[in-house]
Amino acid sequence: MKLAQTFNGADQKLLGGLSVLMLALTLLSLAIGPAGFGLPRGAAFLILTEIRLPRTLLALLIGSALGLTGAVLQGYLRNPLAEPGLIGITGGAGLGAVLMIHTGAAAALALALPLGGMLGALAATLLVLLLAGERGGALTLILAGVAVGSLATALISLVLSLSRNPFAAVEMVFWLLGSLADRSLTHVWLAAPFMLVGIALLLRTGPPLDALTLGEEAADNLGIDLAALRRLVIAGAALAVGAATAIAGTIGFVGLVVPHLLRPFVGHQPSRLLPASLLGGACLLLAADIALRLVTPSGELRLGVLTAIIGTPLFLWLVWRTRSELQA
Amino acid sequence: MRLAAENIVVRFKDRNILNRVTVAIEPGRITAIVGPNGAGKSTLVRALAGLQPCAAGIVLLDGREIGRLTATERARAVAYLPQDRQLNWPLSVRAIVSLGRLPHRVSPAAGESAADAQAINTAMRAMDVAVFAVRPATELSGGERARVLFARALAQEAQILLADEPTAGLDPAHALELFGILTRLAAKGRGIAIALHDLSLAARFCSDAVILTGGRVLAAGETRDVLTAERLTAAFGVAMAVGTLADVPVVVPKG
Repeated sequence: MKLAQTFNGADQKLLGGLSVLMLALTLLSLAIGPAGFGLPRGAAFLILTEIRLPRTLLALLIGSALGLTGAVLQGYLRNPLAEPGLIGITGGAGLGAVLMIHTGAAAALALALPLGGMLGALAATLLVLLLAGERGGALTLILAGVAVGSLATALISLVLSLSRNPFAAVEMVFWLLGSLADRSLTHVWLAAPFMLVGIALLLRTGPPLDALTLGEEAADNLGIDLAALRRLVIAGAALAVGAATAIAGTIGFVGLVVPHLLRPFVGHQPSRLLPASLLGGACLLLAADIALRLVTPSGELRLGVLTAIIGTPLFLWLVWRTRSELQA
Repeated sequence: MRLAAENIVVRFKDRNILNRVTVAIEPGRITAIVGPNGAGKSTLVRALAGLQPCAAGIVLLDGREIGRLTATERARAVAYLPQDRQLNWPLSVRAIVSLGRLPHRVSPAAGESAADAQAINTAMRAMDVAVFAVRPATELSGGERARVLFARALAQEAQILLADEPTAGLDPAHALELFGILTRLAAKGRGIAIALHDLSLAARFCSDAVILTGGRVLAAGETRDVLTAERLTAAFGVAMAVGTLADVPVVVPKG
């Protein structure tokens, strides 16, 4: 069996466990909400299909996209601090969405927000590609990403400070904080194709990322087409994260923390980390969204805020553990 | 297989790192590439590996331009071990060595074949790293790590083996062992070229030698004709003595 050859026994257990957890969280996510717990009848069925289903599907897709992109970028840049926001695409998507609110397009057409986000992500991606070039190493991509991300942040601040309408400004800030609330199935159909194509592209980077463990020269000698890998990574990340951010706003820490947590369980091997991070990202975002609905049913707390609040202590713990490992 | 560089020129900004260099890596021969720091040894090895674009000249693998091969064809024919021993993640020793099998995979999703497992185990035994198989390679000493990375290049099972300073950091026993392995591989018809600073090892184990200075070939041919006191003195800018000690060729700087 192909799967059995690709993943060893320990990996199958890990991936199986994560899949079961993801399934359980999916069912829980469909069952939990202010309208009560349990199997729906009548009006409650509408709540399930119109409110909880899109929310659950988006958490699955966006969590997968963020976890996988984080793992791919950490492998490609050979830097455990890399996360989906690092290469500027998140910033571009945020700027696009904020502009839609500012111009009033979002008020006129609900889908203007995600569409604007995707256009922003596309523009940021093209700019990063232009700056980083086809052949440059990992460092040029980080530099280009940070530059484009900073530019996007600066422009978002500019739009915010130019906003005469305080309600619009609050809407922008809240949108940027990240949320899965009040999304419809239309949002799912709009973003899912992009995210699925992005995920499919990113899942193809496994063996080349393994080879990069030995550096770019050795990977080149092992027959890895580094230019093709770079295109695959950037296109995949742009599609997956661009669409995710366009729908849900900025959700931090999932892409940073999930690969970190899972790496020791897959022998630190980049290729084996990819499917694990995909499932782990989906689990973490589903769990965070469920927790959010339980803690604040009326929705004052934003998902992006919660992932940052959970993610930061996790990250501090990782820093602590890394330090003690390095000292040992 | 025969690998040859013909009149290659490698330019960086407006400086020629290699200037009309011609060398041939023949089957069954071990070629030492020696010369002072900055002579262009590493660049020449990279160019031979097809990883360094040349401004002029051509690198041919069995008469075909190396740049025109597919990446997989090239990777199956030529194994190259860079001087810098990067290990970005704490992969197990076995996982590192098995990276040498990537060019032999039929599809990206294919797992390890029986031939892969055999090549990996043979390479690990040859470099005396099989005892570390499950340990993270980053926890090993510099010399042990060098052996693991060499095992990766061996697992590639390429007809041409290029290595940049493979003995740096190795203890004498493992350096001798490495040359023992290279000698056996050459006897089986592999073509081998290594950039070396240890001139005594070059004089003792390499059948051919190339002296590079300032990006040019100062001398090339059979080792005993090339590594002479006169030529080495001219190349390194310091008086060199060539002799034998306990029946082993030695090269020492007299200063």
